[in-house]
Amino acid sequence: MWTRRQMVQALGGGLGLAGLAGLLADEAAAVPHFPPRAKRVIQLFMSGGPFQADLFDPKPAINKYAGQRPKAVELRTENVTGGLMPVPFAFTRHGRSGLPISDQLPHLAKHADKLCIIRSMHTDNPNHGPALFLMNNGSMTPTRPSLGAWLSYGLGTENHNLPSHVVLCAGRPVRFAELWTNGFLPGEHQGTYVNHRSVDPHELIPFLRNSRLPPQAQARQLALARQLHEMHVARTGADAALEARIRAMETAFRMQTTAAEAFDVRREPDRAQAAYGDSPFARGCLLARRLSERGVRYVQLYYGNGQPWDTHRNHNATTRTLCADIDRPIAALLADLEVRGLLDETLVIWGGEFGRTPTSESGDGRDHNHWGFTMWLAGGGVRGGHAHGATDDFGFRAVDNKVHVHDLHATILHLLGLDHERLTFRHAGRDFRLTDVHGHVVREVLASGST
Amino acid sequence: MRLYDFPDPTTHTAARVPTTTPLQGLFTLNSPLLADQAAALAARLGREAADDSDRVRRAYRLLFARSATDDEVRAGRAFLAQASWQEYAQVLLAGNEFLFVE
Repeated sequence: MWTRRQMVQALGGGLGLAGLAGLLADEAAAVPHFPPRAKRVIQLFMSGGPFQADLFDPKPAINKYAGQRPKAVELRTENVTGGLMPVPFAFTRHGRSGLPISDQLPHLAKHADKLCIIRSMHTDNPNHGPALFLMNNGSMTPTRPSLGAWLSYGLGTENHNLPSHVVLCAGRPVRFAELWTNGFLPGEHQGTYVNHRSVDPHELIPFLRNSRLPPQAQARQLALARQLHEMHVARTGADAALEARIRAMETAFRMQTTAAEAFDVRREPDRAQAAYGDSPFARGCLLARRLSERGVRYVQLYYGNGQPWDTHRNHNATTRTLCADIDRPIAALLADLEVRGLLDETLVIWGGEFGRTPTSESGDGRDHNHWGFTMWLAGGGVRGGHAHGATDDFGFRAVDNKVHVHDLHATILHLLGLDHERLTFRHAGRDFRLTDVHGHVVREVLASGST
Repeated sequence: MRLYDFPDPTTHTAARVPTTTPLQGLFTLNSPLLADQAAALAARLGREAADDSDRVRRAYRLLFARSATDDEVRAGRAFLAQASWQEYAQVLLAGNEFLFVE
């Protein structure tokens, strides 16, 4: 039995044959290019952009030259900024690795030896829209498939009773559905967005139950729908959008039994719920673990509604609040994955669409910074207890071993067993890929012994 | 509305980003709206045609503005031997042909 990808490539990427739809419906999960280190991804998205020198990239020079504007900070950003604004937080070294982590993240700091902190991230544009699209879709302009869609396309799902690509947010992230679009990839790879503000799975997932029809009756309905669909395809040819819709209905049917259980964090023992905490983000982390361990390939958890980390004003106080909210849940997530034996096969990603400036905006805020920012990876195949790359003395611009978003994407795909140059889809006359014509795998962040 | 990609009101949106997720599938399978519409359609078919084949053909005329093929009539009748007209009507309303313009 060929994988769908092999079939599609053999046919030149098109879906023009009648009867192909039937084959597509029977395909097994697609296969990675080489043995993967990680099988699933949980991405923790800090919308708005955290400031690296508050958390993972200590820069004493900021405080030493507080109020001044040395030449190194004359970098153009979205808004006008003033002098260097001092960082009121202290750093302590943790773990065997001795990685310095902010006193604002004491629980997460205990997991220092798991973290691969990339301090030299950089992106192309300091505005939210383009930066969000580049981080999610590999392109500043919309309509390209998202990372989650590419992973779903490349690897399939481990659990046919749940979507392969789930997006969680206790609210609406800025730019919304474009961030998890399937673009030109088949529709089933689009992210399934769930606003997880409630704990009741029947509120998270509307219409999960049918009060009038038993499952056998619904199964009969779906069989008829599929039958009529194939008749239609035989007459008019296959169409990716129509196939996606009927597959979505078939997944919906299977979800009725699994989603009520999978999306219910109340089923966790009390101590597990207590370890994560009770805030929406905490429940989101627990939900992400539940979905991931049930085989959801890619779970993207946005921190909260809008872009909470976008601290143009009142930066320090807001950062304290945000850190207090993420610290225990993320630590609990890493500990939980480890205890369940899942950490080695789950890639955890943390970061926002860009960072912030060491210089002040409006006296008490920080502006967007695309020149340099921090993200970290943990879990499957990642070199823990390691800091990669460096920014300048003030934490403004990445200067050593720079990692562009395209490089990060190439590395993520590599960890999941995919060659970013070979995971392609033919569209509009050429082959497209997540990294387009860019990106290099950052081998220094791979654990020794990885391919 | 949110299920069907209500666009961000603070930005200009040329067209809703089309989504095809299982959440929409759940709406199609389980929402009272679809169930009520299906019941209304089933009742109308019962009034406007005399036997099962005629009702199936009438349904295709009403919903899709075309004649049902013989295969489609056969499939419909086989389904109706085991299920209700409301369930059948719901399948037609849920189908791609009803929701997508060619």
